[in-house]
Amino acid sequence: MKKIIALILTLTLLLALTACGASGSTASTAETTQAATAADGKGTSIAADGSVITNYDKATVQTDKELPKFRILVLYNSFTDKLGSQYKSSMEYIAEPLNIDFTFLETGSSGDEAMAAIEAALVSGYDGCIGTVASEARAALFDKAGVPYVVCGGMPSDETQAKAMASYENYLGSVVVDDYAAGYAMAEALYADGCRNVMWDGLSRGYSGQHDARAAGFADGVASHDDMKLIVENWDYTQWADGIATAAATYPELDGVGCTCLMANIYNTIESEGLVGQVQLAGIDVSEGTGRAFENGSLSYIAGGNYACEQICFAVLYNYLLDGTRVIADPTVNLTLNNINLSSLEDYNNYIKYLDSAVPAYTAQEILDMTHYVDESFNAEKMTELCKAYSLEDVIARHADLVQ
Amino acid sequence: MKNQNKFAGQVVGLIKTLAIPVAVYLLFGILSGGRMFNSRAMITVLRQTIQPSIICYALLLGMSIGMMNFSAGAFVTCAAIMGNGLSNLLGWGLPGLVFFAIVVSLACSAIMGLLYNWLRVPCMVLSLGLMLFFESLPRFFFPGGAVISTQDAFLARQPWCFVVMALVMVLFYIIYNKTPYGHNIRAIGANQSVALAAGLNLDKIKFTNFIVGGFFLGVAAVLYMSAQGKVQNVSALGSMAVMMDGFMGVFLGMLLARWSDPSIAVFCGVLTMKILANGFVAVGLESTWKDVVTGLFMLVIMAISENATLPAKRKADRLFAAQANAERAW
Repeated sequence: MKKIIALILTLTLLLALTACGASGSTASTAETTQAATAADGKGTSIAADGSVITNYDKATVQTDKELPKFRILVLYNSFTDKLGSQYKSSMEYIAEPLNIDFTFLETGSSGDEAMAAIEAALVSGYDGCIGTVASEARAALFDKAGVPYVVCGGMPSDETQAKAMASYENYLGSVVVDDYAAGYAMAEALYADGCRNVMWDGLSRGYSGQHDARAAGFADGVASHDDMKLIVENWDYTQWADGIATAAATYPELDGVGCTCLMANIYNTIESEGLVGQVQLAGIDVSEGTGRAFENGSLSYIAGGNYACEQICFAVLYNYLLDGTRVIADPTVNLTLNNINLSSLEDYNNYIKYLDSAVPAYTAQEILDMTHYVDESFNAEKMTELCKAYSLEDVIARHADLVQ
Repeated sequence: MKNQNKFAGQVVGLIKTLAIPVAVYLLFGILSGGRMFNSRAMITVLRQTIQPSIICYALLLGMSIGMMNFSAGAFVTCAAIMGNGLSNLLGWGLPGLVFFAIVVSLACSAIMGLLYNWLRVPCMVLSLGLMLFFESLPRFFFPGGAVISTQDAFLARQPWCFVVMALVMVLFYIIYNKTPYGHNIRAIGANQSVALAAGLNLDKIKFTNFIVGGFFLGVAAVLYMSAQGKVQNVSALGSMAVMMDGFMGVFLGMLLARWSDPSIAVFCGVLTMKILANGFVAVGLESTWKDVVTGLFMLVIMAISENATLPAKRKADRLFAAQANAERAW
């Protein structure tokens, strides 16, 4: 017994010394696919400890008067994954030029724990909050605290909940990406690449309004073509990669998969099952492996750039804090932001160059231009138009001079 | 003659063991219009069975002596993230992942074993607490989780995954059947009081049990990391999803172990659950129905298992009653 304990403790000590003594990412074998033109150290990359870090250039704004100082609470499950890192960095990017004091609170995945953490944080006093959960409980919590709350990337589950949330004065509304359009675009991209017998691989129905919208868009996209069929569906909580492997084995005619979230293990499955060239992928969320998938031709379409939602949410909140202007006219109706649609390696490289490098989707000046601080005529209609104009071409046009 | 009878008995036992997975496979093969009746589908199912089976071996060792370990999934995620993270820091690639994942898993198991012997808390309760601890532990060192490169992730692909499974299966067979440790846990599992009276050191055996189980969980962590490509930190019992397939399979495996060696029975148990899961995809039913059917399937299996001796017992009781009545009448 003592010998075993001693051995285990020795190994643990060795482990700890190894972890402490090793230097940075000297020989990391993790893949980071970056465009050749991306600036070193800018944009999103994976650190040696596995965390995702996002670095932007220092932001500046042109202003002839002092910007008011606001304290804003930003909530998310975890700021160490890719989207969380981009959310956080896009806010840190504007903190100094816009005179904002951000506090980032990781709420985890448990609802009760999150509510407790938020209640504790609100004691410190904040002028506004950007979160990702659209629930009546959250709206009530922030209303009670007198803190304006805008939701990023989440939406009420149904009309009843939307109305209930809108009844709270401090609920400003939700900003979401157009998931239905993304799903529809997935089907269209697969069709354009010759896929006629496709699969939907997604989250269990009813679990998330966004994922359901993607599925609905995909189904409608398939239905719009007489010679395209949805031959198999996998609705699961986690087993998306296994579902593709099973479907490919039992449906040899399968030639395309629409996936609600393209994670690393799905790209791995396509390669390990020998499906490159046989089954095309289309999905959501740019991640590790996306570049390689475009390179080997297994990816037809991917929607990304969701982090811009956070910047739009800030503009919504900032307008309200400045003079009470609501740029989401009706909080029961979500403000919809276009997706960044990528259909080729060139698109992906442009995405890395213009959306994942030195400058985020909107510069600090562009965000300020969305507010009454610069444009007193900016209103809900203009905000809606701006969100509809968001695209890869739009970002390239706006930032052509900013990105080298 | 004796050897021939023994061999025949083993063959019959193997047939009985395979009966359930074959029956489930035939059922879903028919329901899917024959789509599952192809070699690729079978190989896919077999490949998906491997990692949960290895987790199941670790669980079975504990459950053989009445210890239910809910933290197995947390050990796997912890070992996968920390093992891969440490390997990446040192640039050791796959050998580093294998080494560190097993070391981390052994360390986690040793901690659990020490606490179990020291605190005298039921294993189920202890494992629930440690599950939360080991789910959170990697976050301190590797908050972003772990990512493995494609070239290092080949162990989860065929044919390497089958090589790993074969080696692990042989190792489990040897440990369970040919070592004093295996003999001891079977003795404890049969009757703990008698084993204690016979002089077995229960604390030492149970601690060894955690360590041996930890080795299997470390191997499972390597395969899990290789299959996923990227493993993120989990919380709030999220690791249960990692071990759930193995967890369900261990009960079926314990039933099937009546007819064949546990190394085969456990694999067949997990295989049955995987055929069930894949069958639903092939047939086109949603995972909600899969969860319902899986739960009902397990209830039926466990009911049959727990009550298998009931008809014989009732018959014996009737005979005894008839004999007693006859003696009384006389």
